Amino acid sequence: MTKEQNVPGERDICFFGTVTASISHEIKNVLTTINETAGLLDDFAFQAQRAESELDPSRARDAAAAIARNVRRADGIVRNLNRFAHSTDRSRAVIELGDLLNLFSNLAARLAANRGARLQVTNELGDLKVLTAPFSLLHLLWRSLEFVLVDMGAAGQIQLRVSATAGENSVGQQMELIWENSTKEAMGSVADFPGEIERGLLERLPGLCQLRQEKDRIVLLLG
Amino acid sequence: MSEKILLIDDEAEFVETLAARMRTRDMSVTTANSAVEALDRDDMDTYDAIILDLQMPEMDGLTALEKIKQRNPKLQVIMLTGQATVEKGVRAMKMGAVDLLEKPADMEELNRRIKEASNRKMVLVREESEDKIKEIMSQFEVGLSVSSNC
Repeated sequence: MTKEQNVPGERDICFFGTVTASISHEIKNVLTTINETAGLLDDFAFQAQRAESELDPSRARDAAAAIARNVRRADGIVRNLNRFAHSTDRSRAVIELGDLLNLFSNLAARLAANRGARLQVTNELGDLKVLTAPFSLLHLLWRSLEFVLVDMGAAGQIQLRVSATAGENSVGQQMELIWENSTKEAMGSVADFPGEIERGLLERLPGLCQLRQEKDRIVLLLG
Repeated sequence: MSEKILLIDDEAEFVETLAARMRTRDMSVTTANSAVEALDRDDMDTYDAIILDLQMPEMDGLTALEKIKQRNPKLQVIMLTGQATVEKGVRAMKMGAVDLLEKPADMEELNRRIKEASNRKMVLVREESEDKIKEIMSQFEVGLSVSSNC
């Protein structure tokens, strides 16, 4: 990788901003729910104090459990944020591809939901580790998903699959985004995908990587 | 008076908890987890106030607001949002929302805004009723004068 490729471009910063904005929205939602649940407990206590009703232990326990559940949810969101932030630590690193795809699915769930889609991860590689450029790979997957959701109008379930590919002399890995329902018919390659930005991100990945669009899927062959 | 409220937000747990808190304040609350689900309701005209999230999947709050106001301009919509941009807030108010509150909203403040919205709706409904009565009366008077001339 050249020195220039290590310098984040404007698109990288936009991507980082988009993901962190989405995560901040999720955190805010959880905090809001915790706030209302704490308020509900306060309401119960207030009513009991005024002897309007007795404090029902089961309702109080339900509220406490809801707070604990949402704290765990927030913890999961913050863990994802932390892992995403650390994806910029090194331009290349050895990682589990299935693990990265899970992280991507968690980060992009809200983007997909806003377009009426759900993400499902299928990992056929188990805990296989590969050398890649984690941040650039996440960025490339994000742009691919945006293309699938916006340009292809995909909705319903979108499968994110990582699997092995067998070439003549070697075994490689591929990542796929597979959609079931689309408002647009893709015959071969339509629109400008992969475009200049996607090609630039591909160049940052180790080895010879390819990105292609098929009728109902986008395939990323890792070198 | 017990206000009748429709609460629309995609965060299911938040909606149910806020609804429970509003019920402890003697409000009658119906919840919907999407704008599409809310717009499917036949009884939308009967709510004193509608509390609507700005950012939701499927149909966002601004689109929902437009459809609600098209259905009945007298409906009082309070936007409740996690992270509203000033631009979106201004758009919502221009489109006819009566208020914009940021989450987490103070319950007593929300309560006050609901009562204001409910009162506004009552005034609008009363004015409409008075206009209808005046119209009927004027038709009746025209009828009387015609019959007395005969």
